[in-house]
Amino acid sequence: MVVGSTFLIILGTKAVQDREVLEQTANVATLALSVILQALPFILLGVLVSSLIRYLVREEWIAKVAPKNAVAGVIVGSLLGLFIPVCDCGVLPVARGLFRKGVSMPTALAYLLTAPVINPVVILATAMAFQWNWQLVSLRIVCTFIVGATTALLAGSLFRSRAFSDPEWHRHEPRKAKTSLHQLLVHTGDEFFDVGRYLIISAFLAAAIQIWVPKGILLQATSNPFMAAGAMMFLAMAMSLCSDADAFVARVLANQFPLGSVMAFMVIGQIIDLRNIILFAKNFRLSLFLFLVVSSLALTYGLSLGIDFGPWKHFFR
Amino acid sequence: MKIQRGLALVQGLILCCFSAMIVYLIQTETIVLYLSPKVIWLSKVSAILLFFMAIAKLVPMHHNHSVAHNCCGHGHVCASDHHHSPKINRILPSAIFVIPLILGFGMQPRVLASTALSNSINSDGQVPYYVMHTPRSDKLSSEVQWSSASVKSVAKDTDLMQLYLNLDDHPEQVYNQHWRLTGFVYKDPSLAKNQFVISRFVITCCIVDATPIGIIAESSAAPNLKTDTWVEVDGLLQRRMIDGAHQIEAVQNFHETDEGVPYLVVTSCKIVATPKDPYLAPPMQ
Repeated sequence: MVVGSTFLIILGTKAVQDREVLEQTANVATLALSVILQALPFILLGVLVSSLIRYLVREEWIAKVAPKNAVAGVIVGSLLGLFIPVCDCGVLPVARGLFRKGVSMPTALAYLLTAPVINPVVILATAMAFQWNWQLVSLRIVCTFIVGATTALLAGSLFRSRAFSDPEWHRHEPRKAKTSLHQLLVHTGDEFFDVGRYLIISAFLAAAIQIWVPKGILLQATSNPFMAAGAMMFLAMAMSLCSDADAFVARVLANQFPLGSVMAFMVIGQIIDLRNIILFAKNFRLSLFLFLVVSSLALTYGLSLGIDFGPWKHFFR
Repeated sequence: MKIQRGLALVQGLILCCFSAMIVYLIQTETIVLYLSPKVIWLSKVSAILLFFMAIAKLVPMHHNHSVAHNCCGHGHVCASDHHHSPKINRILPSAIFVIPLILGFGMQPRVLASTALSNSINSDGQVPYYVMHTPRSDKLSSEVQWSSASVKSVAKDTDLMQLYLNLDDHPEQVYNQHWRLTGFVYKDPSLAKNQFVISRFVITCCIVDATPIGIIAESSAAPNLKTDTWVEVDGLLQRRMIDGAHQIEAVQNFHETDEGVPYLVVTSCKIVATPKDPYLAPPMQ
């Protein structure tokens, strides 16, 4: 909230200075609204699914199905995206809904981190963007799985489930005899307002960066894989692309960048980006939030270098 | 309870306005300046859903005993700040939703132009992104018409994306043919005086992922054309090596090959207004 308002004040003071900046501010506003409009259906899907889980799924079912073992739980969580497909705008309320119903914390986290990539729609979009190169598609899935599952597993062993700071996560779910459509919709609305405000702030942040931060500097780091991976990860987080679209942008970048860094772009961009980082920060204790960020950044960076320097390098080109 | 009811009314109103904004944008066809046409149906679905959510918020919940206890409509709101809830703290988070509404109803959206192009993801960082101006649509009525007598064949209407798709698969059907293309003018410092790039943005989902494509056009009218002017050109498509072409991201996105880049020998060029649908959609979508 503070970040958002400071930002708007900066925008405001800048805007009055001259026409050029005024024009750019209009561009920022256009971009931000574009991001919001594009994310809106997916946020709605997320909060709707979350509400459906709240009212339709019973805790006994989860208890029966969910594996007791943490590793198995994380694997199940990572693959859950194939059945509950939501993109990174809407994944948090769904993960929260699952957690409230008694899904273990590592499973919910694994779902949160991997579902935006490991879901049918995004797999298809990636395949299209890379001309049905299934090796690349599987590489993206595997990398996301490794990063998401490892982070979730580590978080599960290091943190207690109280690390979710938001009381929302721990609300007791009372049993209901029957639920009305009215309640379902009202609850969907509540979640929409809860999640949407952070996404609106983040959309403006992402749009401002898009216009005011020249990306040229980042893109000069093409030759050195160490630099390239870092630059691409920064780019992915700053651009906050939707998981349907980022593969098409990555395809363009692939002309100049080593494969590892392109993969880093497609993995980290759906785990952490400007659009959901505020939402994450608000939902987790600081320690867990920092752990999630650092762990996924480090793992993605490591994987990226692994791809570029590993013996399997020639397999993909 | 009173505050809760007020909050529900405010939220219901906001949801209603969101729904109305989407309908408004679709009605005025400005939505294509924000979103790719293939995702607009999703916006329509959201408008309907938002409308029902708004009604659910606006209509008071029946507080018969069992339901009220279980769900209470605004469950987490009353659970979390029941004790210390100054009214403003509850309404304020919803206020941020008003900003996109104001923008949606009040703002004339900007069409991406070379400003965005020079800062687009494939940029070399040579052109400072802030030196170019965005187009002013009210100044585009004048015409620069000229033609070459040698042209016999009729130019075929196409767009850059269709050309792009055929360059690799059917080069014989594309090169040495006359084409009519629409796009905006981009002048790169690495090009000669009589050259410019006729360019379009390709949008997959929304304009944040805009990727420029374009081909180099050669025309004696080029020096008179201003960057970001929308033009309709007729010309003959050919291919050769052009110095500096690899530095222009739009051209590079369009086609990279060892046999040189495609370029258009312009036979006629006319300035047109910014099209209603300035963005192209990627293939296979």
